[in-house]
Amino acid sequence: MGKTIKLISGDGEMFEVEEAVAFQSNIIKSLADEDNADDCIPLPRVDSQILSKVLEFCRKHANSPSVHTKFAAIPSELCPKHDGSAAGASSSESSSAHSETCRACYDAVMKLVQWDLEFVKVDLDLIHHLLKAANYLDIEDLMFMAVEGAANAIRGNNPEEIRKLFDLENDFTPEEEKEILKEYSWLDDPFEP
Amino acid sequence: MAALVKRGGSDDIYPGGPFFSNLVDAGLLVSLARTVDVYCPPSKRSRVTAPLILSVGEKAAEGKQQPRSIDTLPDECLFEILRRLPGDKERSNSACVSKRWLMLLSSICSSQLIGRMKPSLQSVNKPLPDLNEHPSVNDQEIQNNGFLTRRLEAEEATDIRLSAIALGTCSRGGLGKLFIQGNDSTKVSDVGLSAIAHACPSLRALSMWKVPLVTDAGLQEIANECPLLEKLDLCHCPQISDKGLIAVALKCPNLMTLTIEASSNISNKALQFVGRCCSKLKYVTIKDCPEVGDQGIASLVSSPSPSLERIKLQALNISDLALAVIGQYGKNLIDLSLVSLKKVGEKGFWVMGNTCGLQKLRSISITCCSGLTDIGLQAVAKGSPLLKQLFVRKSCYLSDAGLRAFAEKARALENFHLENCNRVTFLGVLSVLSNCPKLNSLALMRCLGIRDLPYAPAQLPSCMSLESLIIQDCPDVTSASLQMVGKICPQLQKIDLGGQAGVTDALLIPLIENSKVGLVEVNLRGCVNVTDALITILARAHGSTLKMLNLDGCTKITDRSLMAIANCCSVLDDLDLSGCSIGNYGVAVLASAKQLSLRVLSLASCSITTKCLPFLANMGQSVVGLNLQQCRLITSDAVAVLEQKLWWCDIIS
Repeated sequence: MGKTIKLISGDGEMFEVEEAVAFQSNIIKSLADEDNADDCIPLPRVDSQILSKVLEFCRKHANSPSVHTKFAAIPSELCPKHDGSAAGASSSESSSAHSETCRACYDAVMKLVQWDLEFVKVDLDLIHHLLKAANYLDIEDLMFMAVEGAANAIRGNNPEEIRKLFDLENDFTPEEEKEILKEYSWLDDPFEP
Repeated sequence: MAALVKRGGSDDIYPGGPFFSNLVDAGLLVSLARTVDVYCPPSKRSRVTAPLILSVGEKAAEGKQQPRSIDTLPDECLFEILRRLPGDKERSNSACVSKRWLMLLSSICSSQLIGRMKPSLQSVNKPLPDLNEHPSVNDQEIQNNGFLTRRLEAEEATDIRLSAIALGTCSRGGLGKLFIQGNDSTKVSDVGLSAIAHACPSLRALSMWKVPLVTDAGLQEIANECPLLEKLDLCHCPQISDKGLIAVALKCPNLMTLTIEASSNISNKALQFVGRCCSKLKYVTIKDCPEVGDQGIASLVSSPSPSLERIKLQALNISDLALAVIGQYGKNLIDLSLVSLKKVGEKGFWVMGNTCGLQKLRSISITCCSGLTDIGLQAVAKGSPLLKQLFVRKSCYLSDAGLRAFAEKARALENFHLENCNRVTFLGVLSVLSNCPKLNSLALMRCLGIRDLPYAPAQLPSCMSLESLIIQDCPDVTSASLQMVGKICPQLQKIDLGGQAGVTDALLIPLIENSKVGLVEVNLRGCVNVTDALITILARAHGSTLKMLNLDGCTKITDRSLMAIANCCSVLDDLDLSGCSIGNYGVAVLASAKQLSLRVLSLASCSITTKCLPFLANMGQSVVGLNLQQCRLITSDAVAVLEQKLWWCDIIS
């Protein structure tokens, strides 16, 4: 489709993207909906490097079912198998019936999810910036995946490692730390798998 | 568009570390400052229930620019990340990272946790995995059965500890009972309490003593999230008012025990709700609440489903009316305790008794109520035919006539206890002894009016049921009266004459000899005139039954008594020889007695030396408590050696 949106990043670079891609961000969508002559949307809080990454994500997710919403609510028009052939504006019951049994929809979503997981398997710096961008631009899917990426980074690490990873300061006093560890001492049980 | 462009603050994506690196004092909950450089679209706010913890002011203060630090993320984002760590190990590891993480983690309800997504390609026919589903909720509910108890005292009581508890007990069986004992500087606040509320739905008992920072908001959180609450204690929590208590009353139908102490903000209104909504309420204690009056008590007692069994009212501004209502509606009351009720008068007690509503009352305790008079006591007996226990303390108007009238009506009385009732004399006591066929225990403490009778009454009553006699610190009671008591009560098993310095051997001996059943407990603390002869007779006569013997301060007791005890006492359990004039030989004899298996032995202030310690060491497995305080001739090294030998024993020195 033709309609494009112009986005200007914080460091002045301009990105032109399709509406469907840009409208993944609810903020951009609501701004664009506002009646104004200017068709350039400035995003001062996002710099170009991050914005390009975000747009890459949005491109992939445009016209795909949103992964974080219930699978059951995939409208049938988004199904790759039944592309456009299903009746439009299906009610939620029929679409749930559709997606529960539609292997194609399931596969498509899973593929997307795998892509997403790879996308966020990057260094924490990037995840951090992506998170903030997703929060700022209100892109639910990116938010979801960035959060998942961050959670993955935390899993399996002890507190000191987590602190190193995220550059955090230990602000507990030694007494406080002792108190907290009292509650979790059972977790060091050698018989615990 | 306008909103975006006109926003103040820097244009960079990272607002600068200082916002969050100034970590919050755990007790403060600060509202979101307008100057915070983070954009949180309003549509998202409803997702997060975590308290936003940000530091006030101090924007660019310490300027530690850490662009990478995850600390610069808004709480919302961090909340979403932490929600995805359902495993205990992960959560506890994250909790130890920093205060902010701990607080956020503890504010996540168990229902908000997201389990790991595990898509399985095998089952297409199964419903597709719902990414918003919470697979582990059911398991967690089963595990949250409230098995665990936590007690926090003074310095341990902080919001951080509470958050750690909330997190740690979640899937280990759940927190059932929480006791917080603080002091004036305790920093426990609503934040910590909310953390507990969110994570411990199985909380059954909450007891807070001196937590000045907790307010109604915290209590409301508990009420909302812990519907199984059965016991609530609020002592010295000045900020808690009617609002919090009403929330508990409305949301916790299982409430059984309620204790409110020293709370100036709780008034009749809250009690009205409690009375109306808590149909299972059984035990209520209200102490020192100046705003609570007759109406509150009346609504508590006269609730539609009277389940109250025990009430204690202390230092309240209630009057005769409250007592009248109690008398009328307390159908299921078993135990009533009235302390320091200054506005209650004679009429109150009279009405309470005469309405005859307290039919099930078994025990009544009246302390420092100047309104208690003879007439009142008589009415109490009349209204409660099943009364078994009477405790009266500090009553200046109660006299013999009242006792007699009471005793005549209270046929079921088993336990009679008077303290500081100075108008009562021995005649009154005798009337109780003679009129109450089931009287089991009689206690008279500090009753200055009880003196030896100048003459013996013509006909002595006989009280076959009395088993326990306690007369403490009644200076004018000497052996003469006791002798009389001994004649009256042949079934005596427990004698406590603490502080009765006037008793002598010659007149105690008949008391001992008259006891046909066999004395079990004898307490002669402070009876300085007691000598070895008496103990010898006691040991010989009652050695087979004597379990407890207290000779604290009986300076005339020497080793001879110990020999008698060693020879004759076979079941002696608890022996207190503090301040007696015994020596090493006596201790050696005592320790070597094979048939004796003492559990607790006190030799405080005795002039024993290190030589007897080896004998003590051989005393055997039964000894669990040994008191060697003030034994100046025993060195601490020697005690240390003894402690090693008797490692199971608690030795005080």
